[in-house]
Amino acid sequence: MDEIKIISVEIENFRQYYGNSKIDFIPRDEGFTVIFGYNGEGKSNFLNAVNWCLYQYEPHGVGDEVTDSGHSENKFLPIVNNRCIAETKDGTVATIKVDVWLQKGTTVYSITRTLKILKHNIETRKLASGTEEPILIDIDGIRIPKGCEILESRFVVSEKKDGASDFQDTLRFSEPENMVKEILPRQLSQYFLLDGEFMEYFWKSNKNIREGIEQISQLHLISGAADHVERVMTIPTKGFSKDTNDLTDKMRAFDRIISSKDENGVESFSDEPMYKIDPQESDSYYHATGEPRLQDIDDDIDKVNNRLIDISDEIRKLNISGQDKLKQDYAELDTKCIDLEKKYLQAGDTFIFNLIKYGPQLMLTDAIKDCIEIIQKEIEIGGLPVKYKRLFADSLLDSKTCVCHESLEPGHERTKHVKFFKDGLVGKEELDDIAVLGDNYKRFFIERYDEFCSDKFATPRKQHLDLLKQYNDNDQKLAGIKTKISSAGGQEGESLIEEQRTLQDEVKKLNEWKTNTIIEIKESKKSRGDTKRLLDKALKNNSKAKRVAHELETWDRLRDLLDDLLNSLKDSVRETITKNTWENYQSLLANPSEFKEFTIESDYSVHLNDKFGNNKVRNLSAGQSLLMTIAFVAAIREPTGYKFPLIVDSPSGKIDGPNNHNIGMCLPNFLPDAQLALLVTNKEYTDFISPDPDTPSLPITPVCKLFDSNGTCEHCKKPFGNIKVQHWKIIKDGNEKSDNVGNSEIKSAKLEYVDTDETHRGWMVATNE
Amino acid sequence: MSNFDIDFPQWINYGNSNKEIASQMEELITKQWSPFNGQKMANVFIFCMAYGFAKGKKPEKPPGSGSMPGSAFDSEMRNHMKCVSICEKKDLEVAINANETVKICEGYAYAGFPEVYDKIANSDSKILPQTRIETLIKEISS
Repeated sequence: MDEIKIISVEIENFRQYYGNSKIDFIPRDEGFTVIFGYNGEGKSNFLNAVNWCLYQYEPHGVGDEVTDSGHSENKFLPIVNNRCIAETKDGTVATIKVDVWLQKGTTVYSITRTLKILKHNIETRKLASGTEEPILIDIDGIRIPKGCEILESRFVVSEKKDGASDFQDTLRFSEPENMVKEILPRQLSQYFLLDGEFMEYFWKSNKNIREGIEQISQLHLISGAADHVERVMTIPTKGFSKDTNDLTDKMRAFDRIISSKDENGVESFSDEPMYKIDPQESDSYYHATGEPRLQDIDDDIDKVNNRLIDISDEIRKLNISGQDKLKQDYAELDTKCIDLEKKYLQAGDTFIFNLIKYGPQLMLTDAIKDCIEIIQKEIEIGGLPVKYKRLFADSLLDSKTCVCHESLEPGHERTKHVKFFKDGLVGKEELDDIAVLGDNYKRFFIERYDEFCSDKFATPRKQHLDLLKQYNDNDQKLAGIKTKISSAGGQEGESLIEEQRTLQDEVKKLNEWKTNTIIEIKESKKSRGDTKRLLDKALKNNSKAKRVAHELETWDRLRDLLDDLLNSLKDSVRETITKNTWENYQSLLANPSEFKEFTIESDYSVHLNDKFGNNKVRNLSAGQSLLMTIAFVAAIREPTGYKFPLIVDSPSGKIDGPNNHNIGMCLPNFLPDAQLALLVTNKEYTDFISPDPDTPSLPITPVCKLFDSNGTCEHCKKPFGNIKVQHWKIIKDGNEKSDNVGNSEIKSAKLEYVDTDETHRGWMVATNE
Repeated sequence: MSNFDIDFPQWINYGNSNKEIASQMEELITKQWSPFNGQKMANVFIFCMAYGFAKGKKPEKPPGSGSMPGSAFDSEMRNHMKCVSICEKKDLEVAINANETVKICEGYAYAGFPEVYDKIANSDSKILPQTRIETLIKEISS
């Protein structure tokens, strides 16, 4: 596939961007594009603008998220810029437009999404402060001021072939969505237009990993084909006999259960609503049965667990005056409880594992003792080892002397006896292994029986029970603190604690549903297989159906081939991505020895083990998760064929000093063929890197200088980036007297060193004007 | 790889064609109350074999043919099977005959299964899975 480059992005009146802002991107061989902005100035909405243009979808802050600074981002922000709508006269039209220019090979595409809004009388409400703000409403998922109507929504993709002078005589696609799908399908966009939030939560859901690997490497095409062959081609038409008709109906019924479809092939849903974080979101329902239901349940378990993590954070941030101690206790106990829960579950698993693995051996103790005795007797009477008996026979034949000192001449009766004895040993050599087995049982089990019982059972049992007790004690204390917070934290505290309780119950319920659904799928598949075998047999015995039976056999073989192909490709792609992700991650981490092993299993569960063998993937810090997602995205880019640029929002937003230094050193050499644009804050780009007590030699050089300096870093011995960076700066007008207050625009910028006084010394991104 | 491993049957029979046993086996490896939840059927088989043998159950030939892959039995499990067959026949040579060994063990596993299932499945719901299996082991080894 041709390399795709972003040429420019033009934003007009989209959210906080007032008027027209256009930024040009430089190709990778010329360097990086960096868009600089302070928190809350509109970096994430820049990414939203690109997504909205391509897919009419905004991944970040749609609705109700609150930033670190405590300001909600888009909840009170209509899609049309506030100043623009205020300046638009009643009865006239405001235009929102995002235009993305891409180059694929030698062809240039202009992708433009425009929204025209007709303004009538805007309805407002009075805030406690006395100011008025427009009431917002959602129309088809688009948030606009009440009193406005959407006049027109237009999406145009035009192309300009190499050599054409302009877009005038070029093709306008009648189905522009298909054109965009070819450039970069939406489900893959999240792996290229990287939202900080997505990266932070990436490893909490197996779905991201499965989709990333399967969709991007096109495996879904093969699985789709295999599924089609299985569901459509391997089932015969009816009309041969009543028996075969019934069996065909039965198979289709099982298929409907497995794929959650009704008799007309329409997806079938239950009346149980799925979990939603935003109560305003419209209801969606679990599939009724089978694999789609299992998928829904898995997605919800992920969502609910992530929400539980957020709730814990929110409780910690609660504004409870004079209750700092309470919040501190809550934070400590909550972290301890999470940790203890993991530990006691892990200890329980170890104990059960030992009971299953070593329990049979313990129950067979008497049998093992008998066995050792039988072996011992055999050794005592010279029956074992067989190897020695063989050597003994060989030595007699070689020396031509019998044990009774008579000679063993060829052909003599005595010689025949010795040879017969030797031949009788053939095939018995394995008895020597039994002797070894007996010896091992004796030395490592019977003679160390007490140690065995203690290691395998008593100690793990004690560890598990101790941890369970500790967990229960902590949980009880936590419940007490929750009750106190619930009253001290007012309504907010109460509702958070209540939500936490409800969600914990929800997770338990979902896990039960999951188990039941897995059993239902297994049973349906097994019964389908049994029915299929009966049907094949019945068709073969039916003279009218012989040809069909033969065809079905061919389709069965094709299905098996597709399954084999899918499995082998899946394994090979998964292994490659696992290897590359691990290599990338180690190169990005400041302390690569923190983790020992990384694997993606065939069910796409991920293991990132520390040196003690504990899987840390669900407990990664925000920074570690960001780095690992970048490593994964870089790894899946290879087999994809999609050579789309990477736009990364806050690549090192929550990363500590040493990792920030490392990412600054590594990014310039990372993905050398990928066009890269970074949306960064001062903290992650121009500020001096925070000193780290564990790494006193860490230089405080800001990332911007790690990118463009020459030479080698004395700390990590890696070469500096030595790359050109094209800067853009988002400027948000903070002047309350200005008409443009609260609005942002993007301007061309450069890196400058400021040295005004002691407190104003360092690097900054300043506009070129 | 020894001849025993080469000859080890491709499929082992736990009595799958007995519908009740098949569904109980399914429960043991999928239900949350079961200590075998998420485990291989081979683990249940070896456990039942050891329990059946140690309790002096009369081996019963399971109905139908093999349905569990032989590859699911690791070397430790195979050693336990050899041990049972030697004790059963009081003869070492049976332990180098994979088919004979498996046949003996299938008999004990099938004989031990109903009691193992009953004691695990019908415990008080408050009893932890690990306690359920530990009780069975203690019943034999203490």
